[in-house]
Amino acid sequence: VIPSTSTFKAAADVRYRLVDGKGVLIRQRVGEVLVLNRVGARILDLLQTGAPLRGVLETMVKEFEVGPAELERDAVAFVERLVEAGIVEEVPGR
Amino acid sequence: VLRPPPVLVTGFGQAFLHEPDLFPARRSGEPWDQEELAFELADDRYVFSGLAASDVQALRARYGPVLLAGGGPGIETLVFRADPRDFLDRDPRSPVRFDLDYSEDCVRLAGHGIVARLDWRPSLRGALWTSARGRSFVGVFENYFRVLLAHRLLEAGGALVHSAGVRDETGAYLLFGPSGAGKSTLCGQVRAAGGGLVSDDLNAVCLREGRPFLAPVPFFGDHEPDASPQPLPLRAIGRLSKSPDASLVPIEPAECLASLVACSPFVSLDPYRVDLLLSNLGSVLERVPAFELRFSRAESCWDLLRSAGGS
Repeated sequence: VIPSTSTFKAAADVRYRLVDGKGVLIRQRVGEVLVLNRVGARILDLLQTGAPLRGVLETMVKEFEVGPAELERDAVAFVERLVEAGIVEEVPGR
Repeated sequence: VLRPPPVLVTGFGQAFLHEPDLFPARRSGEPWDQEELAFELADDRYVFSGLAASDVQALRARYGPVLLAGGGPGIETLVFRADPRDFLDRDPRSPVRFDLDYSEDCVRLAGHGIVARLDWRPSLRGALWTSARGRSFVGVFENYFRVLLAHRLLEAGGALVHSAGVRDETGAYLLFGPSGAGKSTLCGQVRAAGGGLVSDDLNAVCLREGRPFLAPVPFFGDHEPDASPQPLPLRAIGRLSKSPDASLVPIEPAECLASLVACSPFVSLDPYRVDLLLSNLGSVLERVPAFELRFSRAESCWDLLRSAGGS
């Protein structure tokens, strides 16, 4: 379980760009280019600002028509996938 | 998920060199001879010196009228001798490949019969050490030149894209997709329908006063390109996919950018320059209509494609 105070940053081999609300993500270590949908792109964008996961969820619930419980479930699962895939890393000691 | 070229899986040069640690640290060595040649591509002049007469002959046979007499200013590459004993034996069944190693001021390249480097201080220039001669030299040269060109285009605001470039009387169309997407088939269709061919393998996108152009480069696959030495205005960009029926389908900018990045060799894996690739391709996509071009073998899509560019 990811603590809500956790913060994350993109891994060193990851390059990321927002294009019309969607995300273009390059993973150079494994040679992949991915496209994130608007929700995934926004989550990654907010994580990149250094906001804790709780702050990301608070912003997202204002921007998207979704209930807090559903948002938390889906967003946390997405962040866990980003961590598992090595796309983002938890910033220690914050 | 789209895959750029394979990522380095062993240490740099270990698959090709007996002593990878002895990779040349600077642009020096013994030239093959004193011959020089030049290419003018995408508004730049590329000058190669230190060549042997046999190299010049082999390059002229390969590239023909694109080649110019050497000398003068330009992006300079020095060609040096390498001892064939420095290289590991190559399994002739293995595909041609090479390693690239990126740093802030330099890109290093190692392969069978070749080591090379690009240096950015004070400005971009290269050096190529090879033991290859004759036709093998042409292969080595082309591998090096593609890497140099990809990086120079990036620096100039453009990009080198694995793609088919075709043209009509108004300009050029860039059609890209992964291996097997049908670039070669499409080039055959366009030619049969009266269109022109820029290249069926690699094309240079460059900007002139903020306007995108498609510039011919002397690299091609199955179809020899038409003689078209001048850059052409880029009319439209299409991601290729096969379909029973030909159609033009809108494509989201992010999808198109991601696909273009995956078709941009060498620089998409360069951590020091990939941001520039994203910027350059993003700028092009802001200025040129982009579509997914669904095409079939049975039906020519040339008129459809031209309509995408407003022709």
